[in-house]
Amino acid sequence: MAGYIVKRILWLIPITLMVIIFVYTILFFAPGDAARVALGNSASEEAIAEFNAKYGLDLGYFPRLFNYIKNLLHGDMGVSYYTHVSVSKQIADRLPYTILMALLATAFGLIVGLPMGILAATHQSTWIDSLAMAVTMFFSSMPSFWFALILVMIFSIHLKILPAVGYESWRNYIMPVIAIGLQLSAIVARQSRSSMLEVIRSDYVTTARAKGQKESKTITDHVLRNSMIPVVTITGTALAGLMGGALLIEQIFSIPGLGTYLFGGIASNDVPVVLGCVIVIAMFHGFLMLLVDLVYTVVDPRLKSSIIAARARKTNNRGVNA
Amino acid sequence: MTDHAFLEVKDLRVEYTSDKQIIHAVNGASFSLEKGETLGLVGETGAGKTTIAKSILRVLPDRAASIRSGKILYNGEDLLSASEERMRSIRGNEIAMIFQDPMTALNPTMTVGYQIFEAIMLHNTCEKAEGKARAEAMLEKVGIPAVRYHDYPHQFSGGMKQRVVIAMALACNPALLLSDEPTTALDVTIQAQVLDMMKDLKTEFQTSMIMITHDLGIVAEVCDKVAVCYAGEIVEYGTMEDIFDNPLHPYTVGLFHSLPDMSGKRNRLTPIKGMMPDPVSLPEGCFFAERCPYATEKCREIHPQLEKADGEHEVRCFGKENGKHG
Ligand SMILES: Nc1ncnc2c1ncn2[C@@H]1O[C@H](COP(=O)(O)OP(=O)(O)OP(=O)(O)O)[C@@H](O)[C@H]1O
Ligand SMILES: [Mg+2]
Repeated sequence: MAGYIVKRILWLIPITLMVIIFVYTILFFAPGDAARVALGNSASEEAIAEFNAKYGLDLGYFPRLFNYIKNLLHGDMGVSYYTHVSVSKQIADRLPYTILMALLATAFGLIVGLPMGILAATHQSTWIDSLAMAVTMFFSSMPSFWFALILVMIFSIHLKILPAVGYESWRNYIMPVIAIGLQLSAIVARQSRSSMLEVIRSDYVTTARAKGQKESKTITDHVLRNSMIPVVTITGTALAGLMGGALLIEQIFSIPGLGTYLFGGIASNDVPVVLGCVIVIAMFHGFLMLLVDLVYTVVDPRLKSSIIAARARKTNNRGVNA
Repeated sequence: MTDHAFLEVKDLRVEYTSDKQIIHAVNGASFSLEKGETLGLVGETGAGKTTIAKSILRVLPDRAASIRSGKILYNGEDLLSASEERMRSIRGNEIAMIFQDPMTALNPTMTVGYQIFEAIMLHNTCEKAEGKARAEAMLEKVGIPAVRYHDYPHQFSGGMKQRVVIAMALACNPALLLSDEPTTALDVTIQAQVLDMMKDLKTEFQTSMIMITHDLGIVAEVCDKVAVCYAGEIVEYGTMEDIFDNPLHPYTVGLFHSLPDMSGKRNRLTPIKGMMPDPVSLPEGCFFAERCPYATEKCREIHPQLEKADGEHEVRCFGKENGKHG
């Protein structure tokens, strides 16, 4: 198992490299001149040439890529063309807010969504089920910025109990987390309901009942765990998505996360900013997907066995070839 | 001492609802079983055998199935009107069931040992360590080394899974065991082993049993009584000898005599020409009339009742009066 984890982590290196090359290539050929954007249209030819020389923009495709990767290996992601601030530092400053919001929103989604899904599944076709499904349908079809605006209207403007903008106090995070988390909770509720209904029908659940097990324990001990795989997948994917920052939410609540930084970089052709963000997002994505796979093996022993078996097979083959 | 049978199923009717259609799966099944006896419940696929067994434990899928009427008297107590709590104390403890398909009957995310342990702890007030020791002993009893307690179902072969299922069912030493085709999913050699094991365990624990099977060899080997099930009702009931030596219902005759046992191998129920009526719309008269070589006008119009032939032998056929067959 440890070997499997190390291997998966090592795989992140080529994957990240590919992502870098891909994004770099797009930006390289994208229309728009960084120097013109940075210096303004009235800038002189000399100023532009100086700007290009300073950031190595006068070099060709390969030397620039090579320089970038070389610096990256030293932990240097370059500086922004416009603010001249180190990209690594900016990301390091902003990442905690993004991670915090992503984790809290995911936790909210699970804490609200799971019980809702469980209730709906165990009360299938009753009013509880219908209500839960109607609510989740609404939550999942409305965009999170809409909830953000509604929340601000209620809690900041009318009731005046929560701050509308800022990022210093924990109270700043209540509304953004709920705005993002509601949608996730709806997705989690629907997914857990449908996979539970599937499992409830299976023979081994009847076996558990036939043993004399209580209905509630049958659900917690036999149904839940077996229906969690799709929920883990969805949660992991959602969390990975949130690691890229929630642009609109960050803007509405003035939270300095990764989303606004990346968006600004894209809008102004600020290559180091975009590349820096993309690398961080790709790495997080890779780690989260690994984490999801590890959670699978905890949830379902069959998957663990298959991973171990696959590795054993490979080692054997290698032995034969050698 | 007591005037009631150990288990008596009276006029059981069960329906399934799917796609707004009503499937009449069990239509007035009645039979009884004495303590220590084994009753063979035979009949072709879809006859309602599994549904009858699940009704006794009341573990039918509650949304799809409903028990319309009938009584299931266990030591004189009607299980169909017992409280859910009472049923829980009976399930797995006094009445246990071995399910048809061992591949799906075990929880894939729980160790097999724990699944046996769970059954034991539900009905015994003992320390965890003792429960575990008992679960290990059960595993050993069905021929699985106790060290495999912590293994998961997918690490076992089909035959071993079936043994685990049997160990689980026998863990609390039930008075009545419902075994639903406990060997059909297994290959022939394993079948024989599992069957022998079940016979031994049955003698050891003095368990009464309802053995659902397609296999006449198994019926001959382990059953004292036989109930022949057709389209959700019992068409013939009697001792093993009654049914084998003197079958009265044309369906039973068809089942038991269509393939003479010359090779000495077990013969399985061979299909009789035609099909069982659609359980969604059952005919008015005898359910078997359509396929019966002796059917008369009366058979097609009036539904026959299960009536005494001789001794305990009962049959649901007008032909018995007419003496047209047998
Ligand atoms: N969950 C269900 N929903 C709807 N119909 C069902 C359900 N389970 C069984 N039935 C129907 O009820 C009838 C009796 O089924 P049952 O499983 O009791 O038959 P069986 O005698 O055990 O057959 P087999 O020998 O194949 O196991 C069949 O027509 C079947 O299609
Ligand atoms: Mg069946």
